[in-house]
Amino acid sequence: MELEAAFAISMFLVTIIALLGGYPVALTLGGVALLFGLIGIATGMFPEPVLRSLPSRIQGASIMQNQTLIAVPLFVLMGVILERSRVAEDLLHIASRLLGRVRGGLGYAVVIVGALLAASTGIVGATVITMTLIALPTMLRQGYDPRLATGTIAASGTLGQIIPPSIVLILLADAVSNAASQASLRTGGGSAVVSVGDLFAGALIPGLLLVLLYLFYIFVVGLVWPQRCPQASESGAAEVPLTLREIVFGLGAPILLIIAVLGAILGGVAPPTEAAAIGAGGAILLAGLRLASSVQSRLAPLVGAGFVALLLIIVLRSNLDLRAASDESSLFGIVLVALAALVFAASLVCGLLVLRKAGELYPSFKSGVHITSMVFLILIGASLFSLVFRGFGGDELVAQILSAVPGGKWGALIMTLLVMFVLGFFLDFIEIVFVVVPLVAPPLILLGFDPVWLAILMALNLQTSFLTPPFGFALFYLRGVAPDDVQTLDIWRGAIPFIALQVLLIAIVIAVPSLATWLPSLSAS
Amino acid sequence: MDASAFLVFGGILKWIGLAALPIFALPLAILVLPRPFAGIGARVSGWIDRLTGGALSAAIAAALILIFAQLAVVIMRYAFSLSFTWLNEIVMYAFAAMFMLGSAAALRDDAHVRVDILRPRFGTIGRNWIELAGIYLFLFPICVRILTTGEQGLARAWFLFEGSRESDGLPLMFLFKTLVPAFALLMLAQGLSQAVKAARRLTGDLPDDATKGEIGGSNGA
Repeated sequence: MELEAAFAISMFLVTIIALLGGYPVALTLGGVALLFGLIGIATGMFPEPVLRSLPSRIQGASIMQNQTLIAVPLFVLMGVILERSRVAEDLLHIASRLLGRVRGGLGYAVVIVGALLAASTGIVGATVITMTLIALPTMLRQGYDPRLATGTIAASGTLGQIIPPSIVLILLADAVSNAASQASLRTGGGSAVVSVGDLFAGALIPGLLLVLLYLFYIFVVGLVWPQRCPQASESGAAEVPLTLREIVFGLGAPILLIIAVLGAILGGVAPPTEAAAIGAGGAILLAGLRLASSVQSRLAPLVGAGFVALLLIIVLRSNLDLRAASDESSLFGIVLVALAALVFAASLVCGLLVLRKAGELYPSFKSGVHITSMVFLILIGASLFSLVFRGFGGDELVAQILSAVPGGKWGALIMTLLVMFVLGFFLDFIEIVFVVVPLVAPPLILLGFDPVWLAILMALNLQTSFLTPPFGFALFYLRGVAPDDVQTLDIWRGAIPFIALQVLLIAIVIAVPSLATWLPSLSAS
Repeated sequence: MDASAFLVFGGILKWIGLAALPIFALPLAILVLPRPFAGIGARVSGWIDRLTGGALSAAIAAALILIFAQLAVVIMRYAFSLSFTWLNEIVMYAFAAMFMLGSAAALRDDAHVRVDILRPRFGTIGRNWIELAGIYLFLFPICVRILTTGEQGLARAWFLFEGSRESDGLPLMFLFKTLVPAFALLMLAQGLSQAVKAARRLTGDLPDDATKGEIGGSNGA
């Protein structure tokens, strides 16, 4: 037993050292675990059959047949298509031009667009890079203090993780749900299922509060130090004014799509996977409309017909009973819906054709496949890691350590959050969700913490970690694409006020758990 | 076709695999004797990269099928309250195919996340040695393990032409299970190609693309 624990601990330490080598994380996790497993088998410390279950694990319900995670590639595709078709870029441009005249307006635009974009990608790197490239030069030109500008961009880029429908929240829901059912097995209590919808609902209020805190901070800076965020001067605004059409399509359509997807999930109309498919389909249609004019495609009206068809299906469905052809009107309805569905499919194809003509079809799907493969290879590597770590009794070791922490369950919680915070310096959210959460969540849930609340705290905590110098991910990405005359030290200093806001929000959520648990409890009843 | 023919076929495949084993020494051979081996390596890794490109196209097709099939599920359920197991299985198969076939391409295009903290400090030589070590110590063992432990279950699936557990499902479970060894083989091949490239960079046969994958590139951004 003693020796096994030593194996588990040294495996963890070796993994961390190996990760710093910079070989892909997924393969490092799995590779170190496999080597330790083989050594364990050779020395008789490790039960051999455990390793033999690897292929069936990969093709089983936790990876290849995981119904929850089917939403992940769909949301990834939605985000990538919106990004590559410049719909996301337009969003930021239009918002910043609408708000540019207000003091701090560009800052508000970045925060709001960050929250919306967030929704579609949930990958820190992509959002931070996009926003830095588009917004930072404009902000600096308008005379923003570089610290305020970079801090706002980095912080808004990380909003993607906490605001639904983010991909990491889906992964977190899967992990926490497994943990909760393990914990309830242990106590013999009823099964406690945490659905993706629960976590989305739980994250909504804290996420929006965070957005408000950011906006309020920029407002206060504008009041106290007006020179740090000047409004756009009249002379600088000699550009062509925005047309109503641009505002409606560029700003309204993406927002409507995101609200529709989120609303369908939170309102219980559609499970996340189905809503994600609608999101991906909607993104293809929007991209088709956006790009049709620039490549002179005549398919634009056909792409637009897709939205009409979708609307028609919804209207018919809510007014007629389509389940059986009981009378003439429902027969008529069935035929009409079938036709509308065909039109919808045809406009999707048209949207894809426009994307192809613009040369964005292959790149966006290639990038979607890359990101999806990246996520799931980590899942494969992490499940090999957990398999071996558990084989050495590592999960019990973690539980023992957590129960031995002074301060009872609060001590255990704070220690977990601190460890995750430090891990967040060099591991991305996805790896931590797959590796650490399955180990620490079951004991913490057994200690009596609410799973949804716990998951939201972990998400906020990691998001803070990504903002914290010198290792925060968001700052790395920002440094990578920011102009050279922006000092790294300014980027670090700019992040500090936002970190303080994060910590404030974490404290508020700890003090008032119902911020995270109230909405999910509504949808459950 | 007689089911036992597949067992014979599988046996032949296994021997082909064993016979092909020496090729995994190619990157090391390049390090020792760059002269004849670097050229051979360049050709082999070119073939492999093209094979992976084919798998990427299949993964992209799977992504398209995933979107359309899942939308069909949504409309069927929402409008007509209908649900078909076979349609749901198409969704699941497309979902799994997308990353099982796409992983090798992500490896080729350096889209798998790395820890970037110390990486820039290792220099190009250090990075290439780490690449080689990672491939031989981590990637190859994992893939070989997946290949060798899965063979019995796979043989059974093909022997029975295993289908869905539901009566209105797809009769293709054996193909779904074949994605696992296909993934392992693609990753093995691409790993070999990456190792050859690292070895060629170390011997100066291939120019170093130092800027790629340092910042930003690792997250598929």
